Parts: sequence; C-alpha cells; structure tokens
Amino acid sequence: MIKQKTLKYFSVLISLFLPIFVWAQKPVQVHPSTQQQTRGVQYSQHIDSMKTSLKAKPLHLLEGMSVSGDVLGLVMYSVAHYGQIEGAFRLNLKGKYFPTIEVGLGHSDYTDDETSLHFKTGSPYARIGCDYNFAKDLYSGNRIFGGLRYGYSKIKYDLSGPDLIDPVWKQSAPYQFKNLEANCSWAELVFGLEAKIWSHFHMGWTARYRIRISQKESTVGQAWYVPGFGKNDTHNFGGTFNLVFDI
Amino acid sequence: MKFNLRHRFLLFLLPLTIVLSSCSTTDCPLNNTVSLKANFYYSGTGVQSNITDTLSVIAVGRRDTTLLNKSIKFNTTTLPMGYAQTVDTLLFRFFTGYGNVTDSVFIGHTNEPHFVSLDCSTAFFHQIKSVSCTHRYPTSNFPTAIDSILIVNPSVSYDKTENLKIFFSTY
Repeated sequence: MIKQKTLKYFSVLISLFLPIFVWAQKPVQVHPSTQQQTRGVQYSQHIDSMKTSLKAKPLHLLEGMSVSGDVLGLVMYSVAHYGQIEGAFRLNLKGKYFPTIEVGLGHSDYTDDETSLHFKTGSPYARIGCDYNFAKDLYSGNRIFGGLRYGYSKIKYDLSGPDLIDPVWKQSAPYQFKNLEANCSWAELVFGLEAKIWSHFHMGWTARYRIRISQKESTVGQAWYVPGFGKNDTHNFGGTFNLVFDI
Repeated sequence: MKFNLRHRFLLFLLPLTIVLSSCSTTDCPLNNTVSLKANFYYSGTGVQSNITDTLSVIAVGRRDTTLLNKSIKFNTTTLPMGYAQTVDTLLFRFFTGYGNVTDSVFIGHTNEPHFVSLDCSTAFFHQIKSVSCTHRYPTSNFPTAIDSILIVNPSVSYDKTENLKIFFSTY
C-alpha cells in the first residue's frame, strides 16, 4: 500500500517537473538592442528567418493530423486503484480548431481495506469533441486549448464482498456478482497547454471537469469506477498528460 | 507563443490542481438502515390511531426474535426484512389482563442487493410482493385484532416512507 502510494506520488512529481525541465532547455533570448544593427531586415538566428517565411504562408483548412497517448492514465493504471490506457487522434484545422477522438481501456482491480468489497473491470470508452487554440501565434507549435468532449463507456464488471448475515433471521446471503453491466455518458470541459518539444513531438497537460449526463445502473447499483470518467459521481475532476506526435 | 513566467506558473498550477482535485470524498448514506414502515389505522374510521392493547412483534425463524416488546399507545413501527428468504413471518401478539392472543402476518418480498461505493456498507433493498394475515374476531377479553393490511409503497429502502397500512378492528 505504502509502495503504491510512493510510486503514485513519484510519478506525479516526474510529470510535474518534466515540462518545466524541457522548457528550461530552450535557448535564452538575446535582447535586440545588444545586436549589431545594419540596414535591411536582419534575423538574430537562422531559425527565426525560417519561422518568418513560414508565417507568411496562409494556414490551410487541414493543417495536419496527430496521434497522442496519455501517460498519466498509464501511470495510474500501473500504481493506482484505477487507470486507463488511452490514445487519441486529432485533426488540426487552420491551427485553431482541433476535432478529437479519444479511445481507451479503463482498468480497476481494487479491494477496499475497511469493507473488503472488491471491484474489478476492464472496459472500453470513447470521447469525441473539439478543442480551440487560444494562442495568438499559430505557427509556434505551442498551444493553449479550451474544449468540450462527449464521453461514453459501456462497463462490464465484477463485484464481490463478504456474505451478509441477516441480524434477525441469522441467515447468510452471498454477495458475489459477475459480469454486471452498466453504461454511462458524460460531458467534459477541457483546458490544456501544449508545447512543441522536438521536431514532430509535442507534450502537454489537460485539466478536465466532467459532468455525468446519464447512467444505466446494473442490477446491484452504480459502478464504482467508470472507465474514462473516473470514480463514479455526478461530477469529478481529472486530467491527462499527453505525448503528441504530428503525422 | 512565448512561454513566459506566467505560463510556467500555470503549468505548475494545472497538475497541482488535478492532483488535489483527484482527492475524493465518500458520500455514504447517513441513514443506512433498511426497514419496512407500517402505520396503524382503525378499520372503522380509516384514521391513524394508537394501539390501546399491549403489543409485541416477533420474527419467526429458527430462533424467534422479538422485534417489539410489549409496547403500548403507538401508531407506527419499523420492521426489518429478511435478506435470504422471500417470505417473512411476523407474529403480532396482543396482551391483556386475560392473557395473550396472536395474529400472524406473512410478507412476501424480493431481496435486491444494493451497492453505493466500495467505502460504504452494503445492504439489501426489497419489493413487497404480497401481504396476508390470519383473521380473528375481536372479543371483550381481546378487543383488538388485525383486520386487513394494505400495501401503500412496495419499495423498502433507506427511505422511511410508509410501506404498509395495518387496519385494526376493535370490539
């Protein structure tokens, strides 16, 4: 238990500091006044001249496509009570609009210490939505996102616990349920930051506020964990840490 | 977009927010007793009224259990239901100066396991399917008897709403 918690916090710390470390590697900008001034348009570095020539180009409707993976979910999958393996496919429309499809496999295999209740699932989920890039510079590869998602998960799970003893009639009732079925749909508000780290690679965070729209409970009740949504409630918070590759 | 100090601060703040917000609270129901609620009425008037005789309620099983012990002047009661059986047999025993007399009540029901969260205790909810009772005429020595029972709300859960109306006839 302690080892699990330590691993969890360690992975969160790595995730926290990794982006900062990457940006720290960026070269320091030299103040323009310190440069030697000559006549005509001058560029401090060769790369700047390339960027400027790129900026002169108009943005196409389909600027590109990308695939990404959620590292945070993968870490949670390994060390926490629940987590997910998630991948996404995204279009880049004019550098501003990013229609996105996210699919994943949620996993949980957890026994509560106090109640001895055990929950186990491995079920898929999908989200569809669109992000809007609020960044002014559409060419830099760094982005500030706001977006919406609609998510759906069809859950199959097992639930078990100690037999219940009737306090009056003293009879025992088993508490073992297999292949319970439920489903859930939800909406997400997304805020995210993303930075270009190298060539076609980007890295970034999203923070998500999730609101449950509907759910179909199983015969026993609601599922404890909904893949892609998190711990089942009317709403919750979550996030992703994405590694993105431009196709 | 240049990543200035504010952006870097935001980048710190975001994951911190996610980590903190991932902490969740447990919303287990405070009232987690599942019991059937029955109110008492006089059959003549249909008005909710107190029992004037002394009444005990006993659950019949391998070993009988007294659920209510010689109570008087009350007009409502809550009764537990079995988890593993589909018919509960309850004995309503009336005491007077002449001794005691018993009416039997049979409650047929389902047993539906109920789950809220892994942090919360589990329970069984029930649907009342049928209710019947033995019939006895009130006499001068034993002036109160169960006349009939009406299912008002068949769902027995954490809600303490009236499930049964028990009508008593008097001598």
